[in-house]
Amino acid sequence: MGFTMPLMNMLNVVHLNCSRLLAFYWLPRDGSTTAPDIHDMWNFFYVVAIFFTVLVVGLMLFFMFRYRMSAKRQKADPSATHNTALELTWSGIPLIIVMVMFVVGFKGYMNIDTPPGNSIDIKVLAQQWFWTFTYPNGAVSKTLYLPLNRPVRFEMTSNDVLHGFWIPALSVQRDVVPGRIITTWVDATRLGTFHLQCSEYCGDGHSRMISPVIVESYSKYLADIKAAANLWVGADGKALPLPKVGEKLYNLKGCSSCHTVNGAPGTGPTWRNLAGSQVKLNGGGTVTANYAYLKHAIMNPDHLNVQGYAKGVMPDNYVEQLGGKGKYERKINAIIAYMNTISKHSNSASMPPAGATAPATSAPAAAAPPAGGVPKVAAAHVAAGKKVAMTVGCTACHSVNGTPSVCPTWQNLAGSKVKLKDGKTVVADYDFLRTMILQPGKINVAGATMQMPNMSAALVGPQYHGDQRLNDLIWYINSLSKRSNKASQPPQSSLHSTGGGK
Amino acid sequence: MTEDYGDTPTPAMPPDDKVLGITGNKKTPAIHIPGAGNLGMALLIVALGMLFASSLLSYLIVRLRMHLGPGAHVHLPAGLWISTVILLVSSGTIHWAMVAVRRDQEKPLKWLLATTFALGVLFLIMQTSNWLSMVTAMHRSFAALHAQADVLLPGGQIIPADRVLVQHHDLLVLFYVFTVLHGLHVLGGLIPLAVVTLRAFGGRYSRNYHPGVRYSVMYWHFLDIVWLLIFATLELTF
Amino acid sequence: MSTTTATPEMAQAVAPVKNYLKQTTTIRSWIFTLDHKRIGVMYLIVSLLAFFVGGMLAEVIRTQLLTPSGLIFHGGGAAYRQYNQVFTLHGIIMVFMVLVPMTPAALGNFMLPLLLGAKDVAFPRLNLFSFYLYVAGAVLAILSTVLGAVDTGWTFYAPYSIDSGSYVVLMVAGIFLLGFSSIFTGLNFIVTIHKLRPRGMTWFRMPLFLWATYATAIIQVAATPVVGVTLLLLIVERVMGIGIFNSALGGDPVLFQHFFWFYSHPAVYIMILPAMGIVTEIITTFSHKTIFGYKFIAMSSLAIALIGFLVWGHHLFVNGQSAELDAIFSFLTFLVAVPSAVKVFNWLATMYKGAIDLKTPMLYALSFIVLFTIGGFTGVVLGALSTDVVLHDTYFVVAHFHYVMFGGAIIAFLGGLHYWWPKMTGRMYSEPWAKFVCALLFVAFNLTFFPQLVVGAHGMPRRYATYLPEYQPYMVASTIGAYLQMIAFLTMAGYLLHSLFRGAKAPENPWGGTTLEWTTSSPPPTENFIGAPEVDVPYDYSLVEYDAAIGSYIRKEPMPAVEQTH
Repeated sequence: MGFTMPLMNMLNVVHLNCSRLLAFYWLPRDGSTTAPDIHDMWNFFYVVAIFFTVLVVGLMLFFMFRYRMSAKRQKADPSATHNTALELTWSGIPLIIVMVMFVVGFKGYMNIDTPPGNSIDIKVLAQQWFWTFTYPNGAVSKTLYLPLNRPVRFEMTSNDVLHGFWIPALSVQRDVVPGRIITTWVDATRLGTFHLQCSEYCGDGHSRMISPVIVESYSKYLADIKAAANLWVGADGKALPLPKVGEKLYNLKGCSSCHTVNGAPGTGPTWRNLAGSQVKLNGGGTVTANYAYLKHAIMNPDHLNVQGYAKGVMPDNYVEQLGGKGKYERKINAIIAYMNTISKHSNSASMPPAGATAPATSAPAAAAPPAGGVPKVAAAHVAAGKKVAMTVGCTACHSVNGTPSVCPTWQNLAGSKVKLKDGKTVVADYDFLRTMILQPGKINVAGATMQMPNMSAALVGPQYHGDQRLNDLIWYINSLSKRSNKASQPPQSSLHSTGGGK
Repeated sequence: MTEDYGDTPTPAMPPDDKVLGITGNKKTPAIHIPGAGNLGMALLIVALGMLFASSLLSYLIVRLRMHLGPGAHVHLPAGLWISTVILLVSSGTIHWAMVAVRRDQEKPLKWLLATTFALGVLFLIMQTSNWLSMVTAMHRSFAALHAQADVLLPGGQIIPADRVLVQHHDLLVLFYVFTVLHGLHVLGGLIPLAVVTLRAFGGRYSRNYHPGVRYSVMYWHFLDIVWLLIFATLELTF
Repeated sequence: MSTTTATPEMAQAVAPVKNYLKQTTTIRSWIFTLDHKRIGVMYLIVSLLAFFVGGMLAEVIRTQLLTPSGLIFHGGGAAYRQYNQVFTLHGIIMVFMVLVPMTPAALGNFMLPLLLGAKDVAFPRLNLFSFYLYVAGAVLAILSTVLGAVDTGWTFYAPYSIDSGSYVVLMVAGIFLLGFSSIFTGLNFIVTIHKLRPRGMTWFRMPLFLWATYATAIIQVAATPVVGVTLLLLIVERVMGIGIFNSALGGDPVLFQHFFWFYSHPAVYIMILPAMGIVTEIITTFSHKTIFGYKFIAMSSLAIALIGFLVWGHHLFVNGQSAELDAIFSFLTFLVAVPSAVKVFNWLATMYKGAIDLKTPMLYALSFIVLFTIGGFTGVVLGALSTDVVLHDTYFVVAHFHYVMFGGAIIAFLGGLHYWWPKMTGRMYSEPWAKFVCALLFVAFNLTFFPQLVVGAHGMPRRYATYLPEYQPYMVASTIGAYLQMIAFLTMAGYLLHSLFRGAKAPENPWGGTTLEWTTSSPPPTENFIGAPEVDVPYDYSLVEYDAAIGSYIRKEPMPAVEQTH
């Protein structure tokens, strides 16, 4: 890092500031309707401060030299030790001055504190470490668009800790407090792009919690928030390719505050060259960052963490953040598609499945003929189970073709003999598989290095027709094993219900 | 300085609370400072008073923010009333101890101090049992609350059942914080009181010289007042 | 003992008394000492060590900020966390281990009984206990750093301090102990001033440093318990997982801020009041003129302490408390500026027609006036509601409190250290070097913090590990200033250590001071005074005159007991 440039800049700034100091240009004056008031108030304080500082320091310097001790001047001149009238005067004058300052300051503040009635409402959500803005039309963006010469009221809250909403150029600042709705307002009077900076310390990414603020004409503002309202459509009104949508989501959903896309280290692993690569995990072991793994990592951030990245850091509510049930899958696909565009390891296994752009409506097509002892009637269940395995993310870890990985392969698992940690051997029957999936940790398989997450929430429950989903999955596992038998398969009764639950 | 601080040392008995200027192994003779101990004690009480005042204030603020409906399922143990009576009685006995030492009545002094000490210990035992009963009460109330539905506040606001549960939990934790803080406060009083009592049995105190007794009395009354405030606050808001 | 024991020859003639440093020299005699002077020296050593560590951390911060993307910690979250840990530790060390104990506990302990004419503080054992509480608190704080540094900022704002995975509980427990050390010190000082004034030392004859210490002690006793409870609740909240301050559990983060600042704002006056007391002593001594307006200065100390209790809310102007509350706190904040201004005017009036000797302590006192004036006015701007909106949480605030805390409290402490150094160590330091360092420090200080005022007004938020490129020139200037400060402090350490071992023997009264500490030998004997000290009206400079033969000021004649009344 060369310092010549900054030094040259510094000389410039010194020159600039000499004139600024005299011209009172400490604070911006033209950013918003409140800025001139604040600016004038500052100047009033500034003049008073300069006057008294010059007075005090001037007197001090004068006395220093005038009454300096010397060979001739060994003793102080006789003078009064106190003078009540004088002292009351110089107590009273500052008192009056500060009272004037208080009144002036308070008046301006009431003006700042009270938003005008006809304002546009923008919701501001702060979280570690990015800002999200929601406009009256429902548009959500990471850039703050502000119309020129229109009062805007901000309704702000925080998802986690304290943050500070601070746009220096527009002279507006307010703390954002979790659990409270805090309001402030601004009426921008200057076109341009500025910075919203987080001003209340909020942790690791505090200094990167900066959002662009664009003040533009009202018509341009309307066009921008209209474009921002539709995730799938570009500013030109045409449908966006999937990776572009993913890029939008990357910025919008806060991925960018932890994951870089240029290979630089961040709070989370970088996305540059991630998709399709070999990933070392915490606690040893390696997985391939294929589609299933990436999806699993987004949905279960505390599981299979990349080496060097602790769990509990990434929020575990991305399914909800991406729109909840029925909506999140397309968005996750878009994000993974975006990851693939920035990875040199990208391959078919790391790409979202073809046709993922369209909502998944089609029934599982042409299931592979069931292997082993799985009856033909269960084909639909096997196909459904395969889909479940993909969706839930099992295949991120468990291979289906015998490839060794951090977790046991599913090839030839069902019906086989499994060695446990305590030395015993059990047969991987239906009950065993069920327990492994729903109550991981109850059974400890020898050689397993990775704690499996509890999958019950994703597999069983009324929304999945009871055990239907789980049974489909176990049917699928059976289909991969040549040792599959009646005991390792789900009860036949499960076949009677409508096969191929979602 | 005309006030009698009760800390004038008799020639035979050097003051026990101020040995000045030990540098290394050399002890210089003590200097008597009339009333210093009293003032120090008063200031300590001011500091502790601020401590309890601010913790009570924070409790009240937290309590006011809670949306606990009427008929909350946690009740204060009745044993708290018994501890309160014990503490009040002990305040009486230590007061009489002070009267006794001023009248140079050595025997009552000894026994009143010993009684106060015993009552203090009893108070702590009672408080422990109260804590334990709160633990079971907590489990019971949690079980009851699990079955409970959401709470509808008069304003129309709905508090989900799990939120109510959390607030009950918070309230209980604050109960523990308070009682433990006060318990430590009592313990902090009992240790010096034990020393004073032993010294009284050693015949150390007289009408003219009884600083230890005096400080204990000041501390003990303060302890009593603080407990009454805490207890009243808890009774009124639980 | 009616005649004074002023001159060293006389003292030695009466009885060869060993000074407090020489009386015993075993390590045990230091660590179990009940002598307020030795305890003061131990406080001084520990807090100077802490100051060194805190200062080095400041240099790390400044080095990081040389470039917009960070020179040391760059690239991402984990690196920024390290930066956050550095500035947190800098703040905690400087506030709780340096500023709070340095002047009141170190210089206060040493000088209070000497200025008062007492043999020791009222409760010497409690005094030693306070010191070890301070050490224990510091050890806990250091332990928490070793185990896993805290990254919450020195203010521990909830809910970040509750979520943060670092060893907050240990650190907070350490600060809790430091707080109690401060309470006991304050208690001790109040009782000492009330009960140990010697014959003739009436309230209004006390040196003004004692009034300042007295006002400080009131704050220590009454405000510190509140932060104790706040920190205790923070621990309970973290350990038991209940919602007091954490909004996720139904608590209120703003409540924490109220409690925290209820202590921490008065704590600012714990730091600045004794500093003002030192400046008062120095200015009158080196002007060789009676302090002007004794009562106004004494009362303004009390006024600052009392109003200081009521201004904490000005730290919460932009977090959404009601405008009425904002107004009240703003009003009180302005009010506290008045007694501070009164002091400055009284100091100037003291210099008027004096015989001003520009020795090192005086230079520090004059630096204090300049820097404190800037610090005070920037404080007023921050106290005004509308300007606070655009300056809150920016570098303007950082610069403001460094002007007050460093330019005020630390500069005055350095003045006091140089003023009383001959008395404490019995040695003189090199006057030319000391003057040079004082001047360098003044320049370096302003080079460090004035650009921060400007960059703050331009909008740069505080606690940033990285920043927008447009702020860089100011940041570079600031860093150069910080490096110069380091050079100044290292030079100071050099000449002070040299003085300690090689310095000329200090006379009893090298500056011509009239307060009682100058009537005993340098360094003083363990008992402080041989016999009872003579007390009369303070700051009567007609009573001392320079004796070139011994290089010291001496008292002109033994005083008639109580002749002069004001």
